[in-house]
Amino acid sequence: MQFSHRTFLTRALPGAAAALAAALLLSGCSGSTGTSSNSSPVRGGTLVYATGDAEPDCLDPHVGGNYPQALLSSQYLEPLVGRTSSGKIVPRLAKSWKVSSDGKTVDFTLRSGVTFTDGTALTANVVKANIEHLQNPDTKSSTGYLAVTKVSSVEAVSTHHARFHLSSPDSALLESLAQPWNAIESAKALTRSQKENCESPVGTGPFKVTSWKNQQSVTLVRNPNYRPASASYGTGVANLSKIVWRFIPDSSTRYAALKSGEVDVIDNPQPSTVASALKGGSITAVQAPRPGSSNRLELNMSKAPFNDKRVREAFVKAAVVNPGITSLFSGTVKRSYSPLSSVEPLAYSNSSLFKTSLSKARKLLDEAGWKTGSDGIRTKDGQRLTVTLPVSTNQSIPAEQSLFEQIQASVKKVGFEVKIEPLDLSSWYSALAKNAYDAVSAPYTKIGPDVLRILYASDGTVPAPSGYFANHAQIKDASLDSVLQEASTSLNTAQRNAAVKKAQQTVLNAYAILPLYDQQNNFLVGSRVHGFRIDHAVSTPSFAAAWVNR
Amino acid sequence: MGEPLTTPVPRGGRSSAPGWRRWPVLRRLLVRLAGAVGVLWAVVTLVFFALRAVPGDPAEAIMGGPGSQASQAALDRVREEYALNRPLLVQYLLQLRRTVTGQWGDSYSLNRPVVSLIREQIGGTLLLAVLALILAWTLALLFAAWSVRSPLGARLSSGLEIAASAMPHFWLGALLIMVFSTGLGWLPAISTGSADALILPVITLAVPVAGFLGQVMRESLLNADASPFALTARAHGLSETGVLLRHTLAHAALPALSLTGWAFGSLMSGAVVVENVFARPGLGRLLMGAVLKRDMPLVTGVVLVIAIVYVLVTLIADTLEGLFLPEAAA
Amino acid sequence: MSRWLTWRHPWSRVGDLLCVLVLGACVLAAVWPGVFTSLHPLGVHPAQAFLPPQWGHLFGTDESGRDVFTRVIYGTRTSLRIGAVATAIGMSLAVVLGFVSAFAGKVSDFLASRLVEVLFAFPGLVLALLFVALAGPGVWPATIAVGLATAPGYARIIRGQALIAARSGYARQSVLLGQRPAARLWHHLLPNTLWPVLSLVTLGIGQAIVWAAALSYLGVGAVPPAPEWGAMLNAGRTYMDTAWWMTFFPGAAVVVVAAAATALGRSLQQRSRK
Repeated sequence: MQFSHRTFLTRALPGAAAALAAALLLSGCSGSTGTSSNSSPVRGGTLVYATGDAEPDCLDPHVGGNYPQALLSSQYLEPLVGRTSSGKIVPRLAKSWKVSSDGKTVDFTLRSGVTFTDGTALTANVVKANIEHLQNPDTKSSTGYLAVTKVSSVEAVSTHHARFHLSSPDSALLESLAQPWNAIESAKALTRSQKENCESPVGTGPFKVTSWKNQQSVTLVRNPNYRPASASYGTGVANLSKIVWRFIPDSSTRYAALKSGEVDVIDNPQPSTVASALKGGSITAVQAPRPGSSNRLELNMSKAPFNDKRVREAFVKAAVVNPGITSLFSGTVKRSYSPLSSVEPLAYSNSSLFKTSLSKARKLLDEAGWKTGSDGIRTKDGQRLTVTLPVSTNQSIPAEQSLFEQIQASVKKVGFEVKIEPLDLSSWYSALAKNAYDAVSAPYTKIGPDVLRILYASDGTVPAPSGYFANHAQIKDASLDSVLQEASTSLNTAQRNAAVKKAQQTVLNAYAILPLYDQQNNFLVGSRVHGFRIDHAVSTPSFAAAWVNR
Repeated sequence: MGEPLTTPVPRGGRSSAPGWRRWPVLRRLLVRLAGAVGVLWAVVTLVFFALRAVPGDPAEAIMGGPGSQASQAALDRVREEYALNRPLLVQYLLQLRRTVTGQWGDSYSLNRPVVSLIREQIGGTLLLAVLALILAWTLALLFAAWSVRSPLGARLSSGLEIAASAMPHFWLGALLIMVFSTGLGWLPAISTGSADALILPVITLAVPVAGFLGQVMRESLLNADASPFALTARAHGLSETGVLLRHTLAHAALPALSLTGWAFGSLMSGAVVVENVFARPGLGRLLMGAVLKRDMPLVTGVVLVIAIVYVLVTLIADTLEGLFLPEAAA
Repeated sequence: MSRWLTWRHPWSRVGDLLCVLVLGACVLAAVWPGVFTSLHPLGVHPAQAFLPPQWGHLFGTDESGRDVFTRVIYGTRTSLRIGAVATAIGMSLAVVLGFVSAFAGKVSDFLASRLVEVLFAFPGLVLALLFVALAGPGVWPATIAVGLATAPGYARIIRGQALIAARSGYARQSVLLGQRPAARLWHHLLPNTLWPVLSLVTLGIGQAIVWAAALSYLGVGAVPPAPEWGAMLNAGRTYMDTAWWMTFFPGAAVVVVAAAATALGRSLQQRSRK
C-alpha cells in the first residue's frame, strides 16, 4: 500500500524521462510536487487560472464550505496548521501546540508579527473569534462547523496563546484545523456583514482578494506582508503580482484556452488530455489525490433490495469496474479498494472482496430469493431488482458517468436493473433527502480518517433539518459506532490506528460500498508557469512561490 | 405626448374614421403597451407558480441549498423573514408588489441585489444577441437572394440552411474553438475583454438562427418572385436585380420580420448555452444557475428583464410590419 | 411557375425517391432496428473503447466500447419520436393559437397574441428547464418542454399565413359566394395556411432534436445510456479532439433526416401548387 502518488514532473524533462516520471507517479513514488525550473524566478507578472469547479457563492470558506471555496481561499487564507503529503501536521499560523494528557485542552502558540491584509494583527482573540464565527448558526457553516463540533470554547490565555477547550478528546482536531474551511480570517473583517465578508474576506495568505466579477473572475493581488511559515509555503512575498481566477465551466473550452495560452493553469481537465500531457510536450500535468473518502458507490442499506447483504455482495461481485477505469480515465487514476483515499496513511484496502464473479453473484441472488424474469431482470414478490442511481451532473465528470453506465451493463448480466438518473445538484440533494436512491456516489473531502465517523456512524443517517445526511449507505451498526468513537477520541496512536482499520474492515465486509477510484485533483500547467505547487492539506494549488515568464 | 408619431396615411375607407382612430399607429401603440404590461404580469405569475411547484423547500434554497445543513431555527427564521409561512396567494401578491415597486430583492444564492447583478450582466448578453441577430439576418438574406438568382444557389443554400439549423450550439461552438482557437490560433476561445473574443460566440449563436430565418425567407421570396407583380415588373423591363430589390425582398422580409421576436427568444435560449461554452458572463448563464439553485428573486428578475427587452423588440418589429402590411398588425 | 421549378423538374423525381428512401430507412430503423445491425446498443466492451471507424464498427466505438453505428440505428426511434412528438405538440398549439388569432375576432386575436408573447418572452430553453425541474429529467419531459418552447414560433407564422390566405382572391370569392365559415376554414384556409408551413414542420423535427440535445448538454435531457442522437452528440463532444466519429455520425444523422424531411416537404408543397 502506498501513501502518496505525487508527481515530480518537471517541465525540463523531455519524452523518455517524462514517461519514467509518469511510471513513477503511477507506482506511487513520492517526491516534491509541481513544476520547477533551474532559472531564477521572475518577479511580477499575471497568472490566469481557469477553474472548472463551480463559482463559489461566497469567498469566505466558513460559509457553507465546499471544494470550490477551498481552491480559491487557500490563495488568501491560512489555517492554524498545515499538512504534508505524508499526513504530518506542520506549523502555519500556529508555530506549536500541545495536547493535554486528558485530551480535553489543546494549547496553540501563534506566530508573532503576522498581520492580516487589513492591517490587524494575528492574536489569540482572533482565533477565538474565528471558531465562534464557525459555530455561529448565522454563519451557515457546514464543513468547517462539523470539524469543530467538539470545541466548546476558545480561551485567549495571552496575546499569542490560544487554548481550545474540548467537550471530549478529539484525535482529529489538528487535521480538522488544517482544512481551508477552518482557516483564520481577520476578526475585524468578520464583524462586517456577511455579504461584505463574502465578497472580500481578509486573511494572511500570499494573495488578497481585490475584485470579484460574478460568472467571470476573481482578481487576487500579491500580499506585500505575506510571511510564509516554512519553505513549503513560499520563500517570502509571492513573485506573481496578480492572479486572475477565471470560471470556465466547459472542459473543452478550458483546455482550448490553455493550449492557446489565454490561461496558464486549469483544473478538472479531461482524463485524455491529462494522459497526453503526461506523455510530454509543453503542457505539464500535476496530479494530486484528495484526502478523505475514495470515490465509491454507497449502497443504501435502509431499504430493499440492498437491505439484504447477499444482494449487496452480488451487486459488488457483478460490477466490472477495472477495464472502465483503465479506458475511461486513460490511466490517470487507480482503482481503489478502500473507503479512504490512498493519500490517507491509515487507508485500508482489501481487493479480494471485490473480485468479479458472475457465478457467485447469481448464486447469492438465487439464495436471496430473487428469480430471473422473462426480460432477464430478477424479481421477488412482484418487485423488480431495480437499483436507482441518482447522479449529480455537477459533481460527476463525464468519465465517471460513463463508468456508471459500464457498471449498469455488467450487473445487468446477473439480473440487476440500474436506473441512472442524472440530476442537477438541488434535485440530487432532494432525491437523497427523500431516500429515493439505492446507490449513490458522493465523495467527501476531509483531512484524516475522521471522515469515516462522518460517513458511517449511525447518527450520520439522521437528516439535518434540511434533509441532508452524510451516511448515504445508511449503515447502522452499534459495534461500528463504538469503533468509530474509539478512533475519534483515543489519544493512543496505536489504538487509534487499530480502530480506524477495524472500522474500514467493517464497512468493506458489510459490502456497504463499492470503492471505485481515488478522488483526485488534476491540474494542467502551461509552459509559462514555474514553481507551481500543491498545498497538501486538501490538494489545492499553491502559487506562493510560482512565477511566469514574461 | 398627444402628438401622433407619424403622419396618418389615408388607406381605403379608413380615413373617414373619427377622433383618435385616425391615428392608427398611436392607437396601436397604446393597445400594445397595455398588452405588454399584461405579458409582463403573466410572466411574473408563471415564474412564481412554476418555481413554487418545483420540488424543494424555498427556505432551504435561501439558506444555500439542501447541502447547507441549516438548522430548524434558521429555516424558521428565514420562513418568517421571507413570509414563506403565509398563504401562497398572499406571497404571490407580495411578490407582485415587490416587482411593481422595483424592490427586486437579493439573490438567494449570490447574496447580492438582483438589480445590480442584472445591470452587470445584461450588457454582454445584449451585445451578443444584437450582433448575432444582425449576422443571422445578413446570412439569411444573402442565402435567400442567392437562391432566387441561381438554381444552383437554391440547392446549395437550401442544403446549407438545413445543416445550419440542425446544428446544436454547443457542438458548433466546440468545433469553432477546435478549429480557430486551438488549431489555427486566430481567435480567443474565451472572453478576454477584447472585441475579437466576440467573433466565435456571435457566429455560434447566429448560424442556427440564420438557417431557420433563411428557410422562411426563401419560401416567401420564391413566392414573391413568381407573383404577378414581379412578372409585371419584369415585363416592364425591370432588371432581375431591380425586381429582387424593389419587390421581392420587401415581401419576403415580412414573414421573417414577424419572426424577429421568435429569433430574439431563440437567441436568448442559445445564449444560455453559448455563454457556458465560451465562458462569457451574461444573463443566460446567470439565469441557468438561478433556475438550478431555485433562486426565486434572481429567476424572476432575469426573466422579467428578458421579457421587457423582448416586448420592446417585438413592438419595433410590429411597427415595421405594420408599415409594410397594416392588416397584419393588431 | 418560376424558372427554378422547371429547371428542377428532371431531378425532382430522383431527389424525391432518395428522400423517400432515407425516410423509409429511418422508419424501418425505428420500428425494426435489428434489420440493420446484429449488435446491441448497450453492449459495453471497455477493451474496445474509442475504436475508429472500421469494418465491423462502421462508425467506430464510443468510450465504453459500444458500437456507434448500432447506437445511431437504435437511436432513430427515440430521436424521431422526440422530433415528431415535440413538433406535433408545438404545431397543434400553434394552429389553435394562430387561427384563433387570425379569425376569431379582435379581442381573441389580442389575447392569443399576448399568450404567444408570454411564451415567447420566456426563452424556450428556460421554459424547458423550468418544466424539467418540475417533471424531472428524461426523454418525455424534454420532448414536451421542446414542444412548448417551439409553439409560439409556429403560431406566429401560422397567423401570418392565415391572414394572407384570408385576403387571397379565393377567400374573398368564397365570402361573396356565401360559403359557410366552417367550410371556408376547412376547404380553403386550413390547407392554404398549412401547405406553406409544411417545410417548417419538417425542419422543426430536426430543430426539436437539436433542442433536446441542448437539454442533454445542460444535463437535463435523455437519461443515459439510452441511445439518443442528441445525448450521443453531447457525450461525444467531450472526446471531440480524440474520437471525432462519436459526434460526427449522430450529428450527420440529425442533418440527413432533417434534410430529407425538408426536401420532401418542399417537393410535396410544390406539387400541390401545380
